[in-house]
Amino acid sequence: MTATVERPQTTIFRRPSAKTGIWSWVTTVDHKRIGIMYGYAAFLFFILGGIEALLLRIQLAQANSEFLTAGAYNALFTMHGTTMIFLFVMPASAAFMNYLLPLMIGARDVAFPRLNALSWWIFLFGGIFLYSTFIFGTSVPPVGAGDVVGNLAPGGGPGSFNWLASSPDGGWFCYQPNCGPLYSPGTAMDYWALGVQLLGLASLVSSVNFLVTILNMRAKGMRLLRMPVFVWMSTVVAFLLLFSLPIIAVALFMVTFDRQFGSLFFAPVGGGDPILWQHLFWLFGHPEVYILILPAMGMVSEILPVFSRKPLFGYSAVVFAGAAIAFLGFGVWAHHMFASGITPVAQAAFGLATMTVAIPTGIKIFNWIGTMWMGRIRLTTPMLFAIGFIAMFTIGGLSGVTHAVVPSDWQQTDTYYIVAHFHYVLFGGAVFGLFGGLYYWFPKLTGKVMNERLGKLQFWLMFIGFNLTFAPMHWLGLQGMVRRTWKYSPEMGLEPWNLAVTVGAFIIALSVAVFMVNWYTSRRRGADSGLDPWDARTIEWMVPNPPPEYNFAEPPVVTRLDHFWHLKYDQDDEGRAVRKPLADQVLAQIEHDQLNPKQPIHLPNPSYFPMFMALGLPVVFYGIIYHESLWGKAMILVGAIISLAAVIGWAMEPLEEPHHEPEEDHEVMEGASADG
Amino acid sequence: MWTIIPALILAGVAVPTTAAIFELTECGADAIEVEVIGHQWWFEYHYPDADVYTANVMVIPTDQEVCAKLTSDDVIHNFWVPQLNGKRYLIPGQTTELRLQADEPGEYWGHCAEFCGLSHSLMRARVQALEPAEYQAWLEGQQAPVTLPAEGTPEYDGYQVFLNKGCIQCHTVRFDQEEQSNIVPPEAFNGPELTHFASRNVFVGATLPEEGESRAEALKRWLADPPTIKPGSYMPNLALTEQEIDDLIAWLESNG
Repeated sequence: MTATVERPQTTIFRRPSAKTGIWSWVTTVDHKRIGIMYGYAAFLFFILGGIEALLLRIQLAQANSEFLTAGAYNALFTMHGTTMIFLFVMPASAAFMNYLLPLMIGARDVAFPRLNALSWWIFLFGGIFLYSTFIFGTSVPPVGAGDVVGNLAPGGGPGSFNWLASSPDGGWFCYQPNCGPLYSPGTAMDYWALGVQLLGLASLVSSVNFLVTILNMRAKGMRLLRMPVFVWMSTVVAFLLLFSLPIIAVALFMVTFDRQFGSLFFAPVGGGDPILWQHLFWLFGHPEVYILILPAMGMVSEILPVFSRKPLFGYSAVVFAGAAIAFLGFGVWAHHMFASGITPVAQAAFGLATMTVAIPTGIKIFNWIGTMWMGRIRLTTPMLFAIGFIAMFTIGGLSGVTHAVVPSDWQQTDTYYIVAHFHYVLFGGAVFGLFGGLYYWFPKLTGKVMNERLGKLQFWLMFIGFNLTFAPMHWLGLQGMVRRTWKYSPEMGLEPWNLAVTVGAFIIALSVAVFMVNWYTSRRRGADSGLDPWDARTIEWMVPNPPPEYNFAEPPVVTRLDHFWHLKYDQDDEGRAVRKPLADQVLAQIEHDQLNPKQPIHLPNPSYFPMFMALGLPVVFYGIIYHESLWGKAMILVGAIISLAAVIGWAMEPLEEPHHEPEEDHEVMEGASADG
Repeated sequence: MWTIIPALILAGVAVPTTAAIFELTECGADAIEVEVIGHQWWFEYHYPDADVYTANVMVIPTDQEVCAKLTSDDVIHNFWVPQLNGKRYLIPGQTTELRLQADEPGEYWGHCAEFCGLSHSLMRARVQALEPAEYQAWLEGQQAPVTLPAEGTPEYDGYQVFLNKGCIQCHTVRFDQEEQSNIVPPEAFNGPELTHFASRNVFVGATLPEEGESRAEALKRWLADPPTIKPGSYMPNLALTEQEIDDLIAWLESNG
């Protein structure tokens, strides 16, 4: 330990020391600050993805509408899907994990704080890179007969080259060969492939970080089966990311090679196989679905017991069901491809495998209901979102079972029925869970409580808007409305429901606006939360709100599941929870102790290098897109130099700035958990 | 118990599911074969036994199993006529199969269900089921070539437009005077075969004519500027005059 202090200090590599201002945020390695930045960025992309959805809905409100051009429509649905998955739900989950995991396991930070900062910066630059396609990207139709016949009018149609249409338009699924070089010759799909590559890299890095953190940095007594369910679901998600992201990384590199360097992995003209892409994509894409939903399931599993005033029903069943969903999730990918002509044996096998996912999912739903059963329920805003989650997710889960019935899926696939299904699980599920989590942990973040009245208004607006938007999509799909259609014929009788869907979408937008107002005003003028605003159960509430930079002055010693609850409550003879007479004094004592550390606390120092290392990567990727020009080649070189220089700086910078505290500081870390 | 009951329900669902997969997938031995070739953005149909090519409207006999052999000329498409069976991909370089059977004569609506590029929304399909005798008559009619128009008629002028304005680059027409036929080789860029164009009630990816519109009106709109009607259309704006369009329509409408 002492070696770190004896390392010779140089003036070149100094750790930054800003505590406030922009540089303190750029160089921070504090998991809470990184979580906050993740959260705000994800919310910004949620707004962008939402605006894209509203534009799509305006187009579809009427049959044969001319509001958007075909090119703009295709670009918008591609970017809506990509944004909501990679730039909203995943980073929003990462925001919660970053902020909460160390607090929930009783740690002062994640295992690799600089790596954590690297994940965040790669994500941010990846998102900016992807969205820069609106400025730099080009999307042109393939070479058509017009070009064969002679110099005639190009086949793009009027308005197809407007700025919206210059973004990726091959779908978030990027099916080959449509999004290959022959049929999507512009640069927009290159932005997509490389942008998603960067975002995947960010998640891969953080998955390793979270796994090491959870496995190694738990407080004394925090055994695996005493971890909060959110921590467990984060563990499962980290494993899913770890195993599924390399698949898509390889597949995206193949796409990039096809597009940039003329390889023919997926091009039928050269003997490539476009169906291979679908297998690789969904082999990642299905686990991805669980990557999106499991963190929300974890949050709901935290919220329900608190507001039912009962422990989670069947804790270990919920945990193992989550792991089972993840495991099964790797064996069902081809149910996205039942129409692709895979053999009947394969269809039957993947159909049956898909049905089995319903079993652990059902276990979870039963356990959540069991948690509320006979509980003394408080219908706060987070609880409403959690209950909404259960109801909406169950509907989405049931329509999911209908996809496992293969002959039925042959009709449903690629229609609005599917759009309805996955919005019920991902919006009614993941997004409801995320909003519930935001309301629940807002006091942790700010020391204030969000306004309940506005919160309930938002919930009901969102709940009504959500159902008005997505329930009619079931009927539209069964009436024959196919997905990704820019126009539909008035003869099909689809107009009334489509109009209802559009109205619903705007109600959702209104509810999000209410949320933003609530967030802003509650941050400024919200009621003080105190230490324990919800009468919570888990140890992240044993630190003040907002937590000090060091989280725990004294790392806690955990004695059982729901440790914090048991500090406050006893059981009477009939098994009912009774608040201990001294509970309030205990809380006051905890708050006092956590704010007044007995010894100086050693924390990881900030660093410039994660940001610089991440900055080099999009520069290289821009270079790859334009590699045929000298500028492109130069950018590859410059980007590589930036990243490599940052790696060297990262390795060479001192572990800490020389500080004035005495040498014993280091022993504080070791011995800090002596008394809880 | 809460695990076992759902598992039993699912097992109950699984058995008929598996049975139906096999029953609906495999073509029978006595099925009529029709090749379906996907193009951006229209379906082409080839009847290999009769060597007939047609587009946008697939004609099949009733009470007869049809085995569609699906493939694609460019990107992946997805053939879906909901009343006749589920969906099946059309994959470039591969052939997939789909069983179709219509019990009642009539028109069946369909759509390409896989996103296939700019005008995916406008790639629709139509299946016309005819009584077996009518089907046979239709097939024989399609096998016969069409008559070359006589000089001095508007049809003849239309034919001249076809010859001189670029249409012949992509569209095949088979005439009774065989040496006059325009056969576009398969490796060249192919548009829909126009031999019996007027026998089809829909065209342009089965999107035209729209409700309340006559064929001639729809054709007029289309020929004036294809890319405004079908964005990304491979058929360019040929800058035809109104007279040329009228002549072309007269000729096309005579090819029943």
